[in-house]
Amino acid sequence: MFEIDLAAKILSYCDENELAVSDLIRKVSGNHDKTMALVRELEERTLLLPRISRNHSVGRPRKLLRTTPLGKQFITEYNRLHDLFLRSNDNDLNKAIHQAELAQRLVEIGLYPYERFQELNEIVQNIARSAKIEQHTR
Amino acid sequence: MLIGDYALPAYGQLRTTQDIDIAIAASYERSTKLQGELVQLGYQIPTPPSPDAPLFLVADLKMKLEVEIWTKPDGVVFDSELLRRRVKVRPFGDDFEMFVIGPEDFIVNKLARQDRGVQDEQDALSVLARRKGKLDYEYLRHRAKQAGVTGLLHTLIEKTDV
Repeated sequence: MFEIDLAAKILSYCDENELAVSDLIRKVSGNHDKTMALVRELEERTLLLPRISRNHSVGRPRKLLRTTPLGKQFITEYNRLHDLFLRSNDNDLNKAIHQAELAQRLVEIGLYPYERFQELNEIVQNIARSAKIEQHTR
Repeated sequence: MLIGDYALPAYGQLRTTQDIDIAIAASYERSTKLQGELVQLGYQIPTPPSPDAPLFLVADLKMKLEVEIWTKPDGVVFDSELLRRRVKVRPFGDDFEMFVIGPEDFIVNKLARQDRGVQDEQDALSVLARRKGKLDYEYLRHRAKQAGVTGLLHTLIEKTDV
């Protein structure tokens, strides 16, 4: 399985412009070997299309990379999925730990957390119901 | 009035947590007096009163319940506009009424929290989405500007447009 975030970055760069390998590595500014390995894999999966350019009068022919239609589809799907990632930060984790501690304290005194949940859930339902009526009659 | 997670069901998705947050418009002196009275009634207040503290915690040891009482809730300005926008709810049925913070102030409070988590942003987004077109956006932007969360609010409003 390749590194998806880096793959999406490479495909986006090569979608904007046809890029020489050296230019791509500079843009990605990551590890050279890792980027090259990923470029090879993207070529094998036909997400990137290599082309040899002989336009330069001096030096070796350049290998240029362009994103294929399949690669473009990858970018679209990646961007769509990116917005669906579940994210949490330290504050969320601390709050989850706090909730777990509260539940643990209930267990320690012999209260069943699910019963407490049901009680609180009823309060939540009452708040939702009464707020709806209140706002409707305003 | 109720703020935080228990204000969410009034405007957004239903979500049950054990965090009960109540905001009171009280000076430091009145808040200290209230804390003393709660202790006399058998509640535990783990930290001594402080004029700098935005809240104090009240623990009911018998019921194993904790309530955070906020005197300075993040992003909330206790003024006549805020009070006018409160909504009356009946958390325990018809016998008991209390106020819940208005939807615009709820959003700003969630976004301005010092300990804001992704869940808080999701809660704000939930209200923005469910009350789309019904919110007072001018008031919302005004409060967001006061609280310094205009950029975040703008991002979330854009998300509801997608």
